[in-house]
Amino acid sequence: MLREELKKIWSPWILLVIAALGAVFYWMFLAFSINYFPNGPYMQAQFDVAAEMVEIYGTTLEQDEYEEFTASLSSLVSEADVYIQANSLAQEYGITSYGEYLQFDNEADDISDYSGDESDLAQKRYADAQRISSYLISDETNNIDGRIVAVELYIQQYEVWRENGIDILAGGRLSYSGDQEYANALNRFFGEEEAWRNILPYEITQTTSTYMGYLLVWMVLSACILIAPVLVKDRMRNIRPLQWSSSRGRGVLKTQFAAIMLSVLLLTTINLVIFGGLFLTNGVRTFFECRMFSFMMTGYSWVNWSFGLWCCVLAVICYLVCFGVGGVIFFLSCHSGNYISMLLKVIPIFVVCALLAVNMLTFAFYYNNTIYQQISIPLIEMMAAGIVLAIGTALSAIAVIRPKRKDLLI
Amino acid sequence: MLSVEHVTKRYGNFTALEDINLAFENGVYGLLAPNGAGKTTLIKMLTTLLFPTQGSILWNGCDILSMGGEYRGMVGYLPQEFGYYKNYSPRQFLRYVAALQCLNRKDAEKRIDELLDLVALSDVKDNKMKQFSGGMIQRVGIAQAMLNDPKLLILDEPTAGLDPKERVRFRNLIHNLSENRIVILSTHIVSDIETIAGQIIMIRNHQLYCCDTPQSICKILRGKLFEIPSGALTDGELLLSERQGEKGPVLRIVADTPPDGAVAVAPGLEDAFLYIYRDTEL
Amino acid sequence: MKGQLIHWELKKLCAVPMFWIFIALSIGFNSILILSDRYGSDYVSYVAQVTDEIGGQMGEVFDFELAQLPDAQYKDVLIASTYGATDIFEDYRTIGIADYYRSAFMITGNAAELLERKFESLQSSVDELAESGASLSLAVGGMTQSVYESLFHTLCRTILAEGMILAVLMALYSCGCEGLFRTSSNVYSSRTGRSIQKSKLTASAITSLIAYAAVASTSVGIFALVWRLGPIWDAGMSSQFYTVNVSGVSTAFLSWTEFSVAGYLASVLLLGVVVVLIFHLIGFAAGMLTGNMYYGFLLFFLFLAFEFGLLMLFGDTGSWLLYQLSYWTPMPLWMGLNLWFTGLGISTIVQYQECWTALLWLVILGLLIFALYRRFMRKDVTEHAA
Repeated sequence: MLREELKKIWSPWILLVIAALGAVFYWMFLAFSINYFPNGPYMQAQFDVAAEMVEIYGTTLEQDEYEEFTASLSSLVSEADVYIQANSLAQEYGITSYGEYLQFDNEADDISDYSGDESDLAQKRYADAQRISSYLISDETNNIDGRIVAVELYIQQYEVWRENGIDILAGGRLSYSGDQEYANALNRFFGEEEAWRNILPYEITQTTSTYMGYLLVWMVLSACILIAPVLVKDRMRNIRPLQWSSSRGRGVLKTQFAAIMLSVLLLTTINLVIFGGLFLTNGVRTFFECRMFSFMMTGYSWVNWSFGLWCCVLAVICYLVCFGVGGVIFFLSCHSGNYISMLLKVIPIFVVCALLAVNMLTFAFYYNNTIYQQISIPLIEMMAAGIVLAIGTALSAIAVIRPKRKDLLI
Repeated sequence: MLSVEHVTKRYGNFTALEDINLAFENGVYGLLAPNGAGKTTLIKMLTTLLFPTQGSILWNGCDILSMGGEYRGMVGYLPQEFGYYKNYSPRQFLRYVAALQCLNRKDAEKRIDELLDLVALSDVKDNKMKQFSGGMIQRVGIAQAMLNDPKLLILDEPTAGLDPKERVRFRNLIHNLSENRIVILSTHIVSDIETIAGQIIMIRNHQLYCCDTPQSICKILRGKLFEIPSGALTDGELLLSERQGEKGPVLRIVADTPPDGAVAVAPGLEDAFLYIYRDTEL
Repeated sequence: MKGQLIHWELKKLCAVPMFWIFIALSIGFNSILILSDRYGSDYVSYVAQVTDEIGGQMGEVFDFELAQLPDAQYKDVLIASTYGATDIFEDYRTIGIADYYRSAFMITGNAAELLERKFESLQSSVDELAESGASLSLAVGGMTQSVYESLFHTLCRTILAEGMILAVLMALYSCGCEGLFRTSSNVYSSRTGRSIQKSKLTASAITSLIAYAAVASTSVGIFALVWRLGPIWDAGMSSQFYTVNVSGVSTAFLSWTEFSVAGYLASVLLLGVVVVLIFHLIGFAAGMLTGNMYYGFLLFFLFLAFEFGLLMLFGDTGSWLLYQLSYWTPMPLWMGLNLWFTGLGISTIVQYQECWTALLWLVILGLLIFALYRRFMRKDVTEHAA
């Protein structure tokens, strides 16, 4: 019976439509996070340098390792010097070192003070400075400028943490209750001084969570398209009297509910495998062992999981939300007499879920999560997912249990 | 007045009806055939819901498809699965149908009241139809089919699902309505049309088998229909039906010569129907 | 008689409870959008008061009179943002925008020519804006960007989306309800017969417009009550405080003609009526094509996705002429709502392209519906739950 119900749900035409819509959705909302991650040569350099750091030093940067890391800056600058000396445009301006290039670049920026011929000259210098800059972030130079900037940035950030310690966190940015909560978190996770030494670039958590947020929107949409019409069809084609008068009786609703949940599970898994798999091709796996709370300005997180575990938790949240939505759709489908009535109910549900999904998962479990900012309850993201699941479960239970004593009025 | 000329209906490789030729004058015609024979297909072509693949249907010499609304305004149709709006009362539903039939509002109101009286639904004319029984719904169906005082009244399986009392009521109603119009009654329940249909149209193997009076149709079994007590049949005997007699089961058979113990019986339309649509050859 | 039939079809549509609930939900949602974004309402009230007292046109006279006003919480802030304001449209060269787009997006050939031609024709409109001092409109001062975006980017776009969804669904319901109630045989064999589709088309269009009007009027009413713009409704849309980001370039609001806030809102909502009608026709066509309400909705959805896909494909591959052509489709109409009646960046090639697109699609869909109607008139009626 379960198989029969599953066959009703997994209609080839609907699957084709989902595949087509999925392709467009991916292109519109998800592909950017893969094709343009990291976003630009400087972010690419930050990613590459951080990945090297993880490879060499592990998931944290201890003091002695930091000193070694700092020392690498001079070798990078020397490398840059070599590239600059090989560049004809740099030679034209007599630039022979990275330091001279930086000075030239700074001076060339300010072209507004000139007029007439001087202005033309200034514009030429500016344009040439841009060309040299492009050269120094190209594949030809292995993005040397990007790498230097990345190393300098990480050194700067590390110094800020080293000098200010954990006090940086209480810089008057949290409300009174936030302070209390964060004080608890400090004691539990960050009490030890080295907790901030974790390596995890900001862009990774931002991009991953944003991607997962939009992916959850797609998961909800595809689930709605797949499962919403099934029970409505039964009602419209007068199949219900046959079902409810059979040996299974009203218990067929349980089977239909199970089929819907199984379909949601399968569809969510397929979506995660396909789109999650695509995302993982961008190299974030390198950071799976790294902790979420990092000196690289990742933000203040409520939990100190590894990045990999955090990704798994986001996936679990996706499942919870999808199951919850599946339950809600099951209830609405049971109580809709036709497709239009069903769509008029499902569309608002989808809109709410879409808004919730993006806000829930972007920077999930971080202070700057949008929902947390409004409600100030730590781990609200997990709670919100739980609430969605609870609502879905409750409504499904009503849809399954209530008809046991209900007349079937056609 | 209504003529069906060489009408064929095909769906791809499947032929639903082939080369049907019929002519209808005022009176009651019974369209009698088993399920799937093509009755509803023919009826839907008469009501312009389906279009013939070949041939034409003429009303007073004019093609009904080119006549359009003028023809449909003369047709009253009760479909096989009569649909309705649950939340409408019969009066509201009939008002809606009146609008579809382009009837003048005042005339329609008067007609609606008359029809609801005729079908004995005046007492519940403002009750929602979702509260009605199957018989009451069918009566609303009859009323809406009669709303435009049609010259051609087509009723497709009108007594399906009705109890015996409703069916008798229905037969009486049809009898009264059959003056001055063509009534085509499609059914596979022989007793519904045996007494009221002047002509019986039978379709077999997707073709017209006959269009004749019930008496003429029954003639094919005259002198060949017998009843015998239950027992084994011999060659040359065809079982039509069984019934429970006073002394046990009784078989109704067709045979060229009467077997021992057989009692000759007068053939009815049902016997002719069972004989014509038999599965085995004699 | 047709009127009567339209009346009956309207009754069928209005009898769908979810139709009204959806309208209520839409108004509720829009109210939340408006009420959740009231930051700066005190400042806006002050600016409205100032506008009422000394007018809303910046310049030396305004600077002087503003300074003379009694001290208030936001007076200094307003002075700081308005003092010495100059007309940004004087010597404004629209061709520079075209040049930037051409080099940034590497647009060449016919696409570049069309772009240049459009921006050249925009110059005369900008000159007119300069003449009338449109950029010196005080509008809402420093809150102009926020308020205008809230009204046009967010609220109007949401209203139109809700109207579009309702229009499509009502069209599909109208097409499919006879199958739903198994009244197809009755209805299509009546005197009116298959031509009832005309009444259905009209009735579902009326319902769509009623829904759109209800949502738009209530939502805009709530917005007006919340923000109490008062004389700011007469402020200019092309104020220098309002910029729009078009294809990566932040420019002033360069409209083909000068609009006040109220005038622009009215124009947007009016064109919105046409857009709602277009989507209604798309829904009706989808319903007639598929004969099934759900598949009709999916077909509509696929059509939208296809439009998006085309835009993305042509944009990503730099096929700019095709990109410009693909902007002559319904979905980009909705996407570009906040830029209607302006130059609209690299996407458009003629003045008021959004109006021409709307007209074009009314014609195309009208013809399509006519063709489908004629097909329907010769199509067998089969009874099935739609």
